[in-house]
Amino acid sequence: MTLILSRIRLVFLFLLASPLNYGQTQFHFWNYDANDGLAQSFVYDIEQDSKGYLWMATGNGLSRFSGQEFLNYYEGQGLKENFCRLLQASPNGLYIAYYQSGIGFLQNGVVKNVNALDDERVVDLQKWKEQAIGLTASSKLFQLDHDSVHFIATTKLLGTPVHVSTNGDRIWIQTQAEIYNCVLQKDELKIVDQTPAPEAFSLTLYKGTPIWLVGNQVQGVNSPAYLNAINQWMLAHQIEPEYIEALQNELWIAHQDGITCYHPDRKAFRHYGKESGLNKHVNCVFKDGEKSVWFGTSGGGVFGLPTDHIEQIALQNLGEGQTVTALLNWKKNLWVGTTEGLVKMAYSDSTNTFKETTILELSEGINDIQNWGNDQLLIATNRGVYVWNELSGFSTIWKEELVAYYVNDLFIDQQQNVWVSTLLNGTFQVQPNGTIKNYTTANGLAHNNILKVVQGSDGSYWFATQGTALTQLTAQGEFNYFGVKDGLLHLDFTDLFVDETGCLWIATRGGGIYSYHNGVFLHFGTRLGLSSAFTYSVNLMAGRLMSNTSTSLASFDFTEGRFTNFGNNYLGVIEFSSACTAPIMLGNKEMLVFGSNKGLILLPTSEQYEQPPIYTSLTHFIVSGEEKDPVDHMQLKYDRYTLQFNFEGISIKSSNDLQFQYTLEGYDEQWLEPNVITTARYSGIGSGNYTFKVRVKGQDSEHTYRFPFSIATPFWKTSQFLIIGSAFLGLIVFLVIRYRVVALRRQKIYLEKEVLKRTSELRYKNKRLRQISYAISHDLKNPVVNIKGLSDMLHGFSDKSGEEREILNMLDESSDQLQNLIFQFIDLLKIKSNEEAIVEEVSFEVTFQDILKSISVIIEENNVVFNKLFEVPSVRYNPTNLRSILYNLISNSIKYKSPDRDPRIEIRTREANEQYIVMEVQDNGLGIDLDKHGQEMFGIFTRMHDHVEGSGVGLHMIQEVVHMNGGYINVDSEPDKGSTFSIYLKKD
Amino acid sequence: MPWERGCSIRRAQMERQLIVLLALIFLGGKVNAQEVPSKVEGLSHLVTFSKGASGVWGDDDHVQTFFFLIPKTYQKEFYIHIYDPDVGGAIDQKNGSFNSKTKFSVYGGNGSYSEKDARAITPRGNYKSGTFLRGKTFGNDPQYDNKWYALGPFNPLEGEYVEQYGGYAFKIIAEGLNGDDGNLYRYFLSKEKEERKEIEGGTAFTFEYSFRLKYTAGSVAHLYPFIDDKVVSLQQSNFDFDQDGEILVYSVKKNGHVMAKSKDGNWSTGTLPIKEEEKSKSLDVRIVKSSNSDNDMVVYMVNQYNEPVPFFASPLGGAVQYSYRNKILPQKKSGK
Repeated sequence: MTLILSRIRLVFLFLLASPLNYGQTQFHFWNYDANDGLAQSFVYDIEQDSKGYLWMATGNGLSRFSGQEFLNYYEGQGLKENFCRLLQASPNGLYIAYYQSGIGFLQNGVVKNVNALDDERVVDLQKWKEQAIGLTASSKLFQLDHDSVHFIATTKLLGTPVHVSTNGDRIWIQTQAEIYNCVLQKDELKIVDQTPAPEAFSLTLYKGTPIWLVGNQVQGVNSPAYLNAINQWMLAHQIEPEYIEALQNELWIAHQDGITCYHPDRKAFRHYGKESGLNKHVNCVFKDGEKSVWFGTSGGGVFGLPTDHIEQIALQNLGEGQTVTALLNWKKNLWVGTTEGLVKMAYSDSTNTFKETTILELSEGINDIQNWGNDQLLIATNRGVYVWNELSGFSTIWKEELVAYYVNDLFIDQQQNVWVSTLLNGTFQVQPNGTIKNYTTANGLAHNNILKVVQGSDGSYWFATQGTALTQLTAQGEFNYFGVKDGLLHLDFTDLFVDETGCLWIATRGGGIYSYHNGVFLHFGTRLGLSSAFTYSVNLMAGRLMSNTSTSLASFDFTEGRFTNFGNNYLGVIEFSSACTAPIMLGNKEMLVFGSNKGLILLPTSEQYEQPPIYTSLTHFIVSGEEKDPVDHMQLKYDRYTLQFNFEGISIKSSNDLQFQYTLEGYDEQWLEPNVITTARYSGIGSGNYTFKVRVKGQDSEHTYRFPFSIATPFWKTSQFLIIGSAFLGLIVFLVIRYRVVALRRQKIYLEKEVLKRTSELRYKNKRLRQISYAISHDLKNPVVNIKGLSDMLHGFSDKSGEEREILNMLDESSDQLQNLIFQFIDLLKIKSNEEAIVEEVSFEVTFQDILKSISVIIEENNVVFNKLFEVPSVRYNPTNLRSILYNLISNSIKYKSPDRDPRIEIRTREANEQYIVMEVQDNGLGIDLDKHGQEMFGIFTRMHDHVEGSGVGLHMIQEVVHMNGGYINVDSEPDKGSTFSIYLKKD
Repeated sequence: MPWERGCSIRRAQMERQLIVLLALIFLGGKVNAQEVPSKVEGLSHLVTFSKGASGVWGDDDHVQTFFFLIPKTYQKEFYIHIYDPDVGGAIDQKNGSFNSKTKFSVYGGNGSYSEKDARAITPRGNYKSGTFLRGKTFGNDPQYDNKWYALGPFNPLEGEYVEQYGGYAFKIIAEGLNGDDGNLYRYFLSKEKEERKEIEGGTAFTFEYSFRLKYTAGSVAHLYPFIDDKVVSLQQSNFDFDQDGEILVYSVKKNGHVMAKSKDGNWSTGTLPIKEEEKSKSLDVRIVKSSNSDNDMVVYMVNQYNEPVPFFASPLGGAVQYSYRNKILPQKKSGK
């Protein structure tokens, strides 16, 4: 009781705060610590289970919070250690990571510890496919399924692991050195990329993208722009962040001065620190199903914050054991039907309480209340219908014909017919003239248990029946039935409502809520956050879709496309029963009133719903002819599909002028133009990640629905296959190349051997040829010398005639020529056979003087004048070769002297360049017509002048010698002026 | 049975020793054991040089490990305050220009104290054992200069329970990272974040002490190694004292025992026999300075098993006093 009253006080204190104020605001928290029964005042993690209980991990036990009291678990209740650090709720239990020793799984009050992790310290635990995924300090990544664990193969991570975060297919791991972006492929973690982040700490995913803290800054992949705003704000306020957590669209940053919430879309900060009562260090932030935010602190226990856009619930007790079954807001009174009777509660617009409560004398269970006429109420009970007259203050039985029927519902239509729906006998239509007409299965109803009747905008009637079909009675008196074939998958109806646009809203027991408009049913179920599929009422109040479910009061936010669930069990086990049909003003605040087993629930309305809500959703998702349930992030097997998306939209204001546009991200490049078509078809859609988006636009608002899904990649397009295939192809290419290289090497070796063999043979033949040539030359030399000697002897005989003498002279001359030729030929052979002759430093001067001495007679006979200048005195050369070159050049200069002048020969040596020494022999002789003889002047037996004796071997021999020693010859000559032979001698 | 009797005697002895030790700790804790260096130690600052600094500056290994002990009766949050945690400003030792960083890391949980490497005199092996709880790296950050910075809060249960001391141990490692300057700082174990308020019974100790002596000649620093009942002899080592005075040991049985003193950048070692009366008590190692200078040095002690001996921020069991054989106490000087 104390808690409830304190809640009420807190609510009204909260209401004083401006809902859009995002600056420094005075807030008041719920606060529970060890003195209130929390296991310890150090709270490290908070989770909410499927029943609505809040669980808190503390340093000295695990606490369950029901909203009123704590139930604690310790080592004695099965915990492996009292120090609980991390929690993760699953649909069937709660995972607990201990401070030092692994994981426990709590299910139905029993803790089973995961033995395989006993020796591991778990550093992080996150939700993963309805269960959990965790990371140990020793870099072991594991999946949990109840009390069993499955380890995921992980490559060595750099640095000690700190955090793991997931958003479906991606896993981010933060270590003290890196942040790894990973995917899970067949039980093995593959690192896609990694970001160096030494000194980084705390990691969270904001809209699927990781952000983390480094020093006094928030950083993230690709540095999204909103981080700049946070960093600038932290710099300006000298904030030292210690922890960051993304909760839906908000970022919560704990720091030395408390905790700050940043809403990137609103670009607004809100700070909660000492001034708001939160004076302890925040360890964790958690948003529960009602969007209340809870902070676990060090030393201060847990703080609960009713945030500005979250409406709060207040309770007014009507008395022990009474459950509210019907509500009517009429004439500034709230008329409350309960299981015990009728209560009239007067309220004031100016105060925040009901000012008067009157227990009326009707003392039986009430099922429905309706205003009938100016001063009367009709009251449905288990014994028929009563009429309550406000003026007389008495109730009397209405319509004796209806006595003893269990009346579920009353409905007064536009024609003032009263429809009385019963548990067993169908519906009675009481016409204004008193005529009663009974509709049962006998004349067309689907079932005789009718829970609700409403009238559509077209005048037809809709009947909520139990377990058969939704029944429509048209204005023409025909019955229509709607069921599974129409997309209405759940047939146990509990409530109906027709909004301004004529849209019919249907509450079901087990299927959530449906809307029906323009012949299409739209489903609003647990996939959109509805806490339970068992719904007992549906209404549009203050611009919002409201429904009582078995576990909460659900409010659908058309902007976010999600339900917010109020009154989960941890706020005190509440069973909702009835909803008021119109808001009431209470304490200058518009409230919605709901009935429950605890009394009345007051829910303040909110300004954010003033915009006309509009909503769109898929009605069918047909994959190659087969209808599928469009579950977010579903993955289809690899194939090429024909996809059909059917969608529909709803607007509270008007659903007739809605326009749709859609796109299939991953396939379409842009949105299609808006139109009224509500079907999209695609064919040949292959592997990839896709998001089907459909946007509905109304008069002044729009809503976008997103359905992410993927089609699996065929194995031959997977990266593994491409890697293996590339490697295989590479191996083949390598082997072919290798084979060719080996073959070429073998061929090369064969050819080299062949060349060596042929060279050897050629050398041998060449040698033999030279030997033969030399032998021939040598053998010829003696006979020629003999001929010459005999010729000389013949000259000694004096009895020769003149003719004989002339013949003898000719013989002598010929033998001289032959002898000379043979000698030169022998010299040439000597030079050629002397290719590897010894090289030594040879003096030009010495060589020159030696030549002069050998031809001194000729020089004297021809009056030859020499000029010499040996700038380079010597060269490393074979002496015989050098002598032969110079000798032949000098003798040629004398031999081919000009008849008009004495021969003048200049001999010079100089450095040509780094490689050559040039030896020039210049004469003033006959010269050579280079145009005529330039090409063949170095050929053997080539002669350019016939008037003197010569063999045509000299120049050839010079060229052979020079080339053999790596040099070359330049000739500059002009007929009748002389020649210059430049011999380029290769330096050794 | 004799064996059972022997066991019960040993158990009784152990229990007595534990009670004595706990009593010593809690009594000692009242003597301002929350600040390191404590007032009674008479040291200037703790000191940790960055990795690039030579040993001649007075720090042999660029790491200083301290343990804070929280009695198990204390169940609220606490903080470890660090005075002048940055490496810059007037207090710290500049080597050229300030270019250094110091990382302070707090560890708790299993192994943070019990791991042998954690208590070694050099940073070796798994000396960062346990669970990393909080840490922060400081560079030349003027906003922290000459100010206290609070690391925390910590839950006492996050520490490692040490039966011997009846409390939870937390390890703080000051690690000189890149750079070559000296970080001079102090610690304070506090129950508050904004103020330094002592925790009843809390204390601090280290196994290798790196500190700066007070500047003035004649100043006396006191170190308080605790001698447990298994110690027979101690080996004392000091580093980079520059032979700037004397190192003397006082106890109930030692009245100024002269210890070996080190030169600039060198170690010096000496052995100290322990008598029965000195066990379960603290020694008072007095370092008497002979010159006006900034002198940073390192001291550690090991017992005959080469096990490091803890230096407590305040002497366990109160002030150390020589027990004169003839019971004549030194005469007090009269004020007249």
